Amino acid sequence: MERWNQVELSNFSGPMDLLLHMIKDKEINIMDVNLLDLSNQYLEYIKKVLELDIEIASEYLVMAAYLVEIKTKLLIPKEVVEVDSNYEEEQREELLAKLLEYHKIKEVTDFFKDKQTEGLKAFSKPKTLIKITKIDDDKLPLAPNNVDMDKFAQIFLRAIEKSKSKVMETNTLTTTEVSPEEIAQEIKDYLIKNNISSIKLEDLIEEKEFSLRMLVATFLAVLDLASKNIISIYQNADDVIINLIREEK
Amino acid sequence: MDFNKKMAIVEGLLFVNGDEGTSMDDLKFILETDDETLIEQIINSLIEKFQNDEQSGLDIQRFAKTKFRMITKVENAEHYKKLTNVKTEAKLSTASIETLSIVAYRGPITRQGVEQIRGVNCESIFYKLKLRNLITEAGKSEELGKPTLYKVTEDFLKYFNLNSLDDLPKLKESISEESDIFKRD
Repeated sequence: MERWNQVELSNFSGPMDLLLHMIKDKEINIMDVNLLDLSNQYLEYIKKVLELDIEIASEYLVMAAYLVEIKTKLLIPKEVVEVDSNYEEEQREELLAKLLEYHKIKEVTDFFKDKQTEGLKAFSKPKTLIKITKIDDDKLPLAPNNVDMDKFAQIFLRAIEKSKSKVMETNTLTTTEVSPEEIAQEIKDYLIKNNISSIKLEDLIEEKEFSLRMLVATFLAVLDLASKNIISIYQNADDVIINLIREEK
Repeated sequence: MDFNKKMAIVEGLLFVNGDEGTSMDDLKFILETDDETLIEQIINSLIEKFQNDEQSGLDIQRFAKTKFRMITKVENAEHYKKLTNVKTEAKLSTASIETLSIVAYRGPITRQGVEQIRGVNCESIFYKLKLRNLITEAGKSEELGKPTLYKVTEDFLKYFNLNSLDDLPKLKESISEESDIFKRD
């Protein structure tokens, strides 16, 4: 019994494992297991480890309660009620059956452990994703785009130039920071308030207080509105036109 | 197309499909043939080629009867363990292995069925095993409340290098055998 002090609960995978170990340790045939002895041994052990992690211990306590129940039945004088005469025997049978079933499984776990160890020695690579297929432009999940990107860039550059000259002129520090979301809202409000359905991108930029940061935010806002299908962007001669598709709050 | 060319195509296919494995159906599709005997011959020749070639670090694993996977040779494992991308903590715990064994032998089985045998709550273990795709749902039990039944997956067979559940060692079923199993060896 001394050795049980050195046994760690964490060495067992559960209360059945511990029970099995105790039976094996006593070198007794499971068919001859004295449940009274086994219960006492188990309870004694559980008492010692009670201060352990309650999460783990709780599983063992359920088994302890079960064993106490069996033990109580074993200790009560026989002639209680006729109907219950087989109860004790049934419980013993049930526990032994469970232990047997558990033992059968326990016996083959080494097979799985060995197979696992062997399997972990082989390395493989994830499935290769092959990207050869080119998607045709007309199959892209986007609306057809007729905006000349060079034109778009020119407007952007012109705006930057303007921005520079304006800053030079006024020579003030602007600290206003506006997010693209706010600008998007402003653009929508502007179009709705003035009851216009389209505006030139350049004019839209004119409306804004100039700074590089503001300019980038405005471009982002325009792209965001387009991606949400609130506005469409198309090119008309030398201008990029922003068209209000639908009104959102 | 001659046999050697087909071997080369299959070897490449095994490389491309990697860890996921290549099924008999994949092979039929790529080789444009329904001749399973021929495909078996190709695979066997490849396995033989890899195993006899001491200059090659590759091998082919056959699992779930007709699935094939290109792997590194087991005997070289120690050399790759120096790599930082080799995870050793991926090993299953004893509790997980017990649970898996029960599902493998007694499945389809409910979580409650496994808990009956193990005497422990298995909820989190079931969750983890499902995440790793080692067990999967297999319909509902007729028991009260119609709890979900579980069985082991093809990934389970791959993980433990098994062709089918028939490869599992037999459990001792008869009482006469049981009477002495609790004795020390």
